[in-house]
Amino acid sequence: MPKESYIIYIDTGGTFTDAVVVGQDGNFVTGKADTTPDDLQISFFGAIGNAAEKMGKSVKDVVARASQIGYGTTFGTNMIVSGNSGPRLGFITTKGVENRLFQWRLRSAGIPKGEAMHMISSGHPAPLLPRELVLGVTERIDFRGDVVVPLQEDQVRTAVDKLVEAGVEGIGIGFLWSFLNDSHEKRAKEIVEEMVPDLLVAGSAEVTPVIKEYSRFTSLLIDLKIGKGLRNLLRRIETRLAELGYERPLLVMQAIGGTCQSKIVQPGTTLHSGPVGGMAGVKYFKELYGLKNAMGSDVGGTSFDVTVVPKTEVRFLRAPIVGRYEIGTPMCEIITIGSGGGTIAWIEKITNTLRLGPHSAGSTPGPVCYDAGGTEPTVTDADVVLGRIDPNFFFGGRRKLNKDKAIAAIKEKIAEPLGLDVYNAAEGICKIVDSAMGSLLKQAIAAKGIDPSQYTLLVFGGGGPPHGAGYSAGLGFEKVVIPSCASVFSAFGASTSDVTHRYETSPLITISKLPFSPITLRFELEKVGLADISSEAVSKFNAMFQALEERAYSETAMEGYASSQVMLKHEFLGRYGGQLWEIPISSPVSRIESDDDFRALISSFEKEYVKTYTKGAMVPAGGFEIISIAVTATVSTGKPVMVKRPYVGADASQALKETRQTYFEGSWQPTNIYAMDRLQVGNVVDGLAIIEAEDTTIFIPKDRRVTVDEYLNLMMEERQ
Amino acid sequence: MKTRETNAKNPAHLDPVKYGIFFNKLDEAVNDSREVLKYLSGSVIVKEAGEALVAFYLPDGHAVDIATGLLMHFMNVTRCIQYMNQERYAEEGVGIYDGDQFMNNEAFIAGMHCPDTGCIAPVFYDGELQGYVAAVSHTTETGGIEPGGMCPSAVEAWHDGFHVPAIKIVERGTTRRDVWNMLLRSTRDPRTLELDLRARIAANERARQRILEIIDEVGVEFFQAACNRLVEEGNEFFQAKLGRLRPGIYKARIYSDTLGGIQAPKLAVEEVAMEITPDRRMIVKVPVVSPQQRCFNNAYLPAVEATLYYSLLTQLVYDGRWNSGMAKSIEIDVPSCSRLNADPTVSVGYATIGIAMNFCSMVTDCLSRAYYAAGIDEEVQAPPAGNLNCSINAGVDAAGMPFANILLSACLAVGGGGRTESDGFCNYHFYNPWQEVPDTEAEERLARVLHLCRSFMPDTGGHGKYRGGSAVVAITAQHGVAAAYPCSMGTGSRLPANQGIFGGYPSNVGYVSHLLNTNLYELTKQGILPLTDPSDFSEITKHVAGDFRRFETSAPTIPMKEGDIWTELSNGGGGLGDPLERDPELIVEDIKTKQATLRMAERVYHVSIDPQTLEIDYEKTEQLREETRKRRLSRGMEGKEYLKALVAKRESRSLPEPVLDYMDEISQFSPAFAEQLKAEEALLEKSLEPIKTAKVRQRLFKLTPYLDVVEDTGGNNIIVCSRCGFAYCDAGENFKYYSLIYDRDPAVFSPPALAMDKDFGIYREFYCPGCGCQTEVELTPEGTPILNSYENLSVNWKADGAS
Repeated sequence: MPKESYIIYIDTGGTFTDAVVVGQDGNFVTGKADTTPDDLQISFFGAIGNAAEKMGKSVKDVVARASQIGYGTTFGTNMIVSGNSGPRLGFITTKGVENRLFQWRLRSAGIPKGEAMHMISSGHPAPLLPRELVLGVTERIDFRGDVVVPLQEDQVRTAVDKLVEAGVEGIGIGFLWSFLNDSHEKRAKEIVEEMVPDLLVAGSAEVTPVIKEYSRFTSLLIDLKIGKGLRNLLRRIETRLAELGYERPLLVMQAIGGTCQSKIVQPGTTLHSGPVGGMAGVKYFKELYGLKNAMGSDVGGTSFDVTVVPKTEVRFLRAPIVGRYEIGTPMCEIITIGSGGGTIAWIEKITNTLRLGPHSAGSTPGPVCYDAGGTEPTVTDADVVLGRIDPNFFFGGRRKLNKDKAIAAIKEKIAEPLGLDVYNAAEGICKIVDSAMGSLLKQAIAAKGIDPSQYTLLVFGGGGPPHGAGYSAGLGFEKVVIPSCASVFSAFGASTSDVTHRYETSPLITISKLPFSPITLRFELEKVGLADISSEAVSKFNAMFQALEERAYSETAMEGYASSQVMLKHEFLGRYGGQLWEIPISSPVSRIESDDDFRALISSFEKEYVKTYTKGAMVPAGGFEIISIAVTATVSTGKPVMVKRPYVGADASQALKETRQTYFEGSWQPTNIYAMDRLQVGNVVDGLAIIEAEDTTIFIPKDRRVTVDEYLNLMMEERQ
Repeated sequence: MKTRETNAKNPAHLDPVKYGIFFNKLDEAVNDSREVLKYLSGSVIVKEAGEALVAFYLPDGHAVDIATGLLMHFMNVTRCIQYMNQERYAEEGVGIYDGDQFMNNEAFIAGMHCPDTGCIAPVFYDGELQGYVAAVSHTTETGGIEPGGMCPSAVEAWHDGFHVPAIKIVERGTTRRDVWNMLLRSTRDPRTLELDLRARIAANERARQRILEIIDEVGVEFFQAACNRLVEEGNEFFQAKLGRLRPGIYKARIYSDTLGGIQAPKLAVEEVAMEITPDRRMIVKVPVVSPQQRCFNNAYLPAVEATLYYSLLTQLVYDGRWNSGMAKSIEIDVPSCSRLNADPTVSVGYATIGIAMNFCSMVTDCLSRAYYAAGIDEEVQAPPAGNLNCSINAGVDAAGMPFANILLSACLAVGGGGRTESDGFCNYHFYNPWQEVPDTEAEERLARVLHLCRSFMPDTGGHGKYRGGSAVVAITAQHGVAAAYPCSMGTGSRLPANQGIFGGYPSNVGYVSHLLNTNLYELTKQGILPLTDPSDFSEITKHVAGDFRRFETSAPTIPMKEGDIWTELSNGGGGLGDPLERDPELIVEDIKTKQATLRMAERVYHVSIDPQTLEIDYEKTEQLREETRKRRLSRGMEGKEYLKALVAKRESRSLPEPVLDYMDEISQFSPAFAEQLKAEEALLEKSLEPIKTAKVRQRLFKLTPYLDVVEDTGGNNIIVCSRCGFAYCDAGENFKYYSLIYDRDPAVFSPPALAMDKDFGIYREFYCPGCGCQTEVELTPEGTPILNSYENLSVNWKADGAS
């Protein structure tokens, strides 16, 4: 085999670390290892080892022949969610607002709505640092970016002395309005560097140069908190990879939807990057199949994530939350609800009604059928009781499930209180969880003005395939696809990601009056021109885009990419004058140099607005505002190639393992069980049927048909 | 119009699975629509503070399911639908058609004050009315006599702005442009009004479409039965929760000092009696309440109703169905023409976060007492801040652009009450668990200001074993303006609108100050950024030169210019428990985090802490605390003696002028108050001698952390001190008359310049005659009868499921 023949991607999750090793022929092998939270390097190489073993090779053989190795990690997310302290930080901020971080922004950020309603018990998040390590210094910049009071450097020096004396290991600097004028933050950082050369230090505008200080300051502190540990981990992994013969850069997955070389990764961008791998995979499938639009639905043990990959570019969350903290770091828009295989079913005693979640049994103790101490029935228990999951073939038989305990739990805790048969109760649990997930999908569809008949839905994650038919029912998707690597699809997807950087800043441009029609509520573009926008605003728009582009080229150059390899995409966040929330629009121009440029910006905003909120919500009387602009730089990297296989035939009998009884629509029914790894191109499996893979189970109800396509992925459709 | 009969279907036997699915979908529909409302709005309070409500209602007005977020107005919509039904809107002259939308901001019909605007849209399916969707949010400007819709100078309803009583603004899907134009002409800020109206209409349309899809899916019969079932469940849940509480009457009292921005402060009283009946109903009466005034701090009855329901939703049925089902088991009785049930002629501009929020604080007090007496300690908290103080800044900026927006950075970060195991939260409002505290940068840009300071104010959380959450101070300069016209609204300048509980103290008072014609920019040129420290709040002129004027907590619109400065302060929450029991380590933590000062800690908590190292001398602290208990025993007056003095003061009118004014007024207006005065006089005929010692056969229940209700060996149910065993009196009596009582000047425990005015209120402290522990503190105008917080408690009650 020639050198450089593999693309390897590792995804560290809360329970398992997944590896995907993709060969040049498009074949891939997956590997899994238990995540080792104390030293993630162990599970990183453990997962590769597991895949290598399946290939009959050593870790060294595989690693040394890799052309690209990528890594997605929950290191930072876990550190923040678990309250793991990280380095002791100090914070220097504008005098007068030292308490901002302790007044919180959204008191119920990051907790389920039921918990938030019980206000007395739903506390604030733990502070990211003690109040006494926040020191104010005299300086002030105003909302126009003008200096009101120059930075008092002596006060910065005094503050640094105090913080160092208090034993801080890093200092964050966050001043008001620094995203418009970062001169004070930069100077304060220089002072810290002069005084304590080796100390970790950063300014808020350097990390996230966007308006709203709470999330900007929070992003800065989280970045500093996780940075040291993450960099250590990456360094150790790189060293070991080099020992094994891999000499290229390690790529790290970011929440903005692409990878970045480990030496320049900004730690905060790795937060919540795991599910983004799935999104990259959806994008890859979209291109592979030439789809117009695609949505992804990823069901894990504790969560259900929905991603949308529309015709144009992916969207970014405007107020992302990590743990209990609102942050300013951009993240791909992924909608998450707490419905996964581990979601607990329970009876609300007062009204005697069946409820699901938000609590989850997680991986420890896990569902009752794991026989590891769990006592509350979960969705997975219901799947086992109904015969949809074979208790002897869970994880390919590596984990035996206790069906009797699952039956007993559902009987005692659900069926008897409701006066139902245990199997009806189990089917009820599945139907309710399917409906909850279906509602989320529907909400995503409605919120984005998506026509599902124009979209293909991808179903993945270990818990997706058992319920994909259920939660996609009645939504009218053009197609439903279950990838052959469904259970490790996020890792696979991440391996398809490009190197990506995103830069954002806020020019805050207001055009308060534009001519519009009172009947159509549209701006009269033919009457609009450069005379309607101030020359200062035009200069700011152009200069800020130019600065972002320069930064993009400079950072990709540091990674070793020529500017000719870098593709830039421009975006702006616009709104009607007076509104307080902006929508993202792919910017048709990166400079305003003519009337047409300006018209194109307005026109693109109107189109996107109407698409999102309908024509009736148009309010042109207040004019138009550009709040932020962003540049995304992408460098294409090597991608796995999926190879088409020849057509074999519709008959799937060679993959038939057995026929067993499963409970469906109120009765036990004979159900064909197929082995995923024996299915061939063109095979057709009609419901009622189950396809068993090593690490997931695809449930096909009576009204569905699954066809194996030329990539061995499964296409699910309604039976005619 | 075909209207379905709400209770026609039998909802008891719905397929539980289909029902679960139905609920998920309905809940998603209203929550999703709320996001539309939030994002399309032009009001800071909606987008930045998260105040937006979307809900679905039955044709009779019952709320079926409400979106999480602003909870304040869901019952207002119920009233609005009931009004439309009473006024026979469906008939000729108005008509209710598919695609219609009605707008209401008439608080007397269905609201709290003019800015709270609801849009209500009928949902028809196959020509039959299935119910209504409603989107409600606050609009900043309503064309009142001052900008902002909460006009401190208003004295009558018409000063509050335009009144729109459920008027159709969209007919069969088409905007009524004539009505629309009339509305835009009625406000100073038509742009925001239009943005907010469009946002509500779009949210309702989203909700309507999604509900129709649900009906398509589950069938109309099932949909109707399931909606009815949800409402029934709301009631069943509420009743089940009441079944966990000890039947009886729980009472709380609160005082208000504010009329408006142009009137002198005046005392008003509100007393709530919350009865939990053995058959699981809740009867909420306001037996004592001051009469309505020509000012902006009155409330109409719908505001009181709305306040009660959001308080119950977040404190009692938070884990049930979030709808109006509980209304079937609730009765409300508030005297007409009072501050809490005003007639439609008076202004209610500040009701929402003023006098009606005082009521929320009392509801919390009553519920906490009920929880504690039922042994559910974890739900107990002292009353939170009973008001929000805020400002509106409007004007023209330096570029000639008009602006108007509400400043919420201090307003929304108010304190919650102390709890049984921990201090109160900051940033705490029962009406919106999803509240957001706006960013400085967002406010500075929208309202053209420069925030010099927005900080916790030390020593403002009510003192106690567990203190209340702290207040926040904002010191703000006009910046980037050509002309500005701010006004401020608030209460609590002479005495705070809350109380402590179980021996804890209430929180702080506040005020608004203006500093005009300042030298701010001369200072900034010299590299000085003044007034960045909360302690500068009261000494503002030491730092910046200018013309200083101190107002109460409300200030009328006063023109300002670039560099002029104003200050305001929110309120903390009440404290819980005897301050002498506060863990000194918590005090040190408070000093470190600047929530408290050592000076005040020494005075209130009697601790010995090294000012340099903050090391605690535990032995000395215990000694100081023991000495304090002994002092309490020596200075506290016996109940009978105190009562004699109290009655004598009333008879001789030896009371401060503000108290005499209020007592005269309330004695005439409230028969219940006059009864209380007579009852105290009658008590003088009794010995009021405590039992002192008793042999206890069994403890029946804990009434407060310091008082147990026990059965003595003679079979009598009596109240005893849980610390020292001192026996007070029979269980049915008010233990306070058998306590030692001491009147304290509140200034002793207040931060500088934030001292309560003792002519308005004092701390009436109650000590155990046996051990000197502080069992209760009443914040009360001198001369006012002692409150009995517990009446007719069921002594032998057992909670559901208790053996």
